[in-house]
Amino acid sequence: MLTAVYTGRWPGRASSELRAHVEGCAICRDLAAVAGTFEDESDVTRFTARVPDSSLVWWRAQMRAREDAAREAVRPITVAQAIGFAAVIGVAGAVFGATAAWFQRALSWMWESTTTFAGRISMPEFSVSLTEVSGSIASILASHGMLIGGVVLCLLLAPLAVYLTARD
Amino acid sequence: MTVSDVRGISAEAGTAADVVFTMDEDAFRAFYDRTARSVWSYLARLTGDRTAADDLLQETYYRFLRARATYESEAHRRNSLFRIATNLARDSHRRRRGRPATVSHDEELSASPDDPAGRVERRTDLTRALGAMKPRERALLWLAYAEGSSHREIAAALGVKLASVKLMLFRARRRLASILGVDRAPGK
Repeated sequence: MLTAVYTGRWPGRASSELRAHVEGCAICRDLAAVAGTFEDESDVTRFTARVPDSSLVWWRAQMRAREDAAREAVRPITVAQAIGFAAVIGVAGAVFGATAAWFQRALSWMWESTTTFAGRISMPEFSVSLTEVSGSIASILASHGMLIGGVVLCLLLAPLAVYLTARD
Repeated sequence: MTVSDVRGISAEAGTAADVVFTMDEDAFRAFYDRTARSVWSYLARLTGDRTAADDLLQETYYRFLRARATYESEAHRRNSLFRIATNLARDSHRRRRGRPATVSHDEELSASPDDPAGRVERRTDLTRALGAMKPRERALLWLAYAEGSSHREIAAALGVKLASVKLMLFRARRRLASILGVDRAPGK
């Protein structure tokens, strides 16, 4: 059936046996209709297709490949710059925290408020331990607050900077 | 060294030597001339949009050139090309599905001023029928009946199991015939 379609013998020059078979066979009838339509369609579409010249496609591919290569080459440096920027921001934050007296006072006030609040929680069996834990955290922060603040800032900013850089 | 320095060096390196592709220019141009019309027709039918087919054609050949693959034969190379085209058309279909509906370009594909009236009507029927089918069904039917690909080639191009092709093709063909209004009653 397919051979008859592709050689142009269907339907005009098909044998009587083939015609009789197609008359009684639903599958071959589908095949004849679909294959015949596609054969016709394929010829017309290919004839009317306006494809660019091969030299143009080659040239565009070359340009695109160079752009991609340049982008790939630059990416590690951009990521390193982003991490460096995040680190500088983090260190600057830590230095600011270490030198600004009002910031330290504000930080101490915040932790005192937190420990006071934790001590007032109305569950007696937990209140002692919560107070102890809060007290320990407050003492650590009081001695190394600036360093911890800087590290936290770095950890927050670095992934964000890397994401923004690598996004494109 | 700044980023702009590196960009400058990369650009110079690009102009100094050709980018490495899977084939040289002469081989590519010969292969392109043999396959471009088929690939474009396939993409145009899958996407239903001539402009999209133009863009995807360039992208298909670019990805083909960048793929670091070795091909055993012309058929293998051609199957790879159609597989890339299939994937790009599918991605394009997914992207467009999320957008607001626009005027379909399918009708453009059936319009050809040189066509006799009967042929125009037949092409319009096919265009509408294909528009009602899934992209994979369009791809299957086009590869089988417009490209004359074997089941093995279809399986390679669409990334499906060889054993599934026959059944998928049978179903797609029956669906298209039913949309085209082929009379299925025996003896008629």
